[in-house]
Amino acid sequence: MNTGQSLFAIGALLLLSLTILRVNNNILLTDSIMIDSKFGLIANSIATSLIESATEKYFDAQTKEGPCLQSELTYPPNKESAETNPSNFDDFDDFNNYTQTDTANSAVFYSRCLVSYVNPNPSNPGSLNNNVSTRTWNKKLTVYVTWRMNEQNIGFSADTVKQSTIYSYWFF
Amino acid sequence: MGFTTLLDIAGSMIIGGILMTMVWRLSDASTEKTYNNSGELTVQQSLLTLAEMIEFDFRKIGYCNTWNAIVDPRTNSEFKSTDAIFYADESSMSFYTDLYPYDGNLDSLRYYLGPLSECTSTPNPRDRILYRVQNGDAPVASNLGVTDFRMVYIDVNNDTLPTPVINRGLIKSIEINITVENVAAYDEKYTNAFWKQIRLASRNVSRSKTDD
Repeated sequence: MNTGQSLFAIGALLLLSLTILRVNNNILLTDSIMIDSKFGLIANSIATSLIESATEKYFDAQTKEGPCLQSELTYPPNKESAETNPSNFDDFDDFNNYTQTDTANSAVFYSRCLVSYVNPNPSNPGSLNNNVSTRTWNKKLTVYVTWRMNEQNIGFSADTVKQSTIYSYWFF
Repeated sequence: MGFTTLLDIAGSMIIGGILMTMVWRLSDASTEKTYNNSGELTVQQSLLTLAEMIEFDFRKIGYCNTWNAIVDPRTNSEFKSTDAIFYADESSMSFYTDLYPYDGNLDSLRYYLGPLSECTSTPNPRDRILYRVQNGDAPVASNLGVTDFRMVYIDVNNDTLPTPVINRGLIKSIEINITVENVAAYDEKYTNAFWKQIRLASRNVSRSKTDD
């Protein structure tokens, strides 16, 4: 084989190697996206479960027995002593700062809940995103679920699933 | 031809063979991944479709558009929300709700999982058909590759109720587990996706507990 032929052979091998690397890269990238997408579904179901679990509870510890004055509502939203998990939570704001770890498909999902008061203004939909530091008849639960980070980083990862709901108190 | 030429030919055949093998493996891996990823996408879309449909229907258990004039279709008497679920088993549930066009007349809805024997024509040995029956009409279904549709009924004390649930008025929340797999897969490598524990505390049923 003369020098020209050798160079052609080396060039062909280089092209083939690059092609193989690109194909492998694409395969791994697609796998990664598919797995993230699958984990996203599970994370959404965990967030939905937490929201459903929270909306089963009383609006506030003070409204368990009946209506109360707005000034008597729990502030800041927090759980009472001896309440450790949703099975013994009795009201909505017990979920504030509640964290949970679930394992599914060999992945660990970290969840964190935050509860705050909101003051919805029909003419300003953005008011639903503003936490207020006063007692109102509307509480907002925000659930963060992530499978990439540890508990300390929940809410900061780009892959965190975030769902929220507003829970209002009505008495007829 | 000299010995060197023969050596060149033998060497190039070996290297050519290695390259051919690499290209063949690459092609095989690409084909497999294309099939698997398409299957995975289908599985996730099917699961999402099911979850959306079930969530939409189950959230309205006991709902009626004209809430103050609900009549029990079985007895024509006043409807009790504790009777909204009239059958509750592990993989089957029947309940009353008001479906489109929301005319105020209660409709019955039944979800149940068909037997394994119905899907013998598909390569996956575990897939089954999830049926939705509205008002006793012909069951509506499509094979989305459901391999598990399991419900757990929970009472007000967060205790699990044994199935079939005899006293359906005790049901406070329902935990639903759905697993979907490909109906066919490359090299029988089935992928699955599951919706873990949707706990649907139907407000209409929950409220009936506090009325007791």
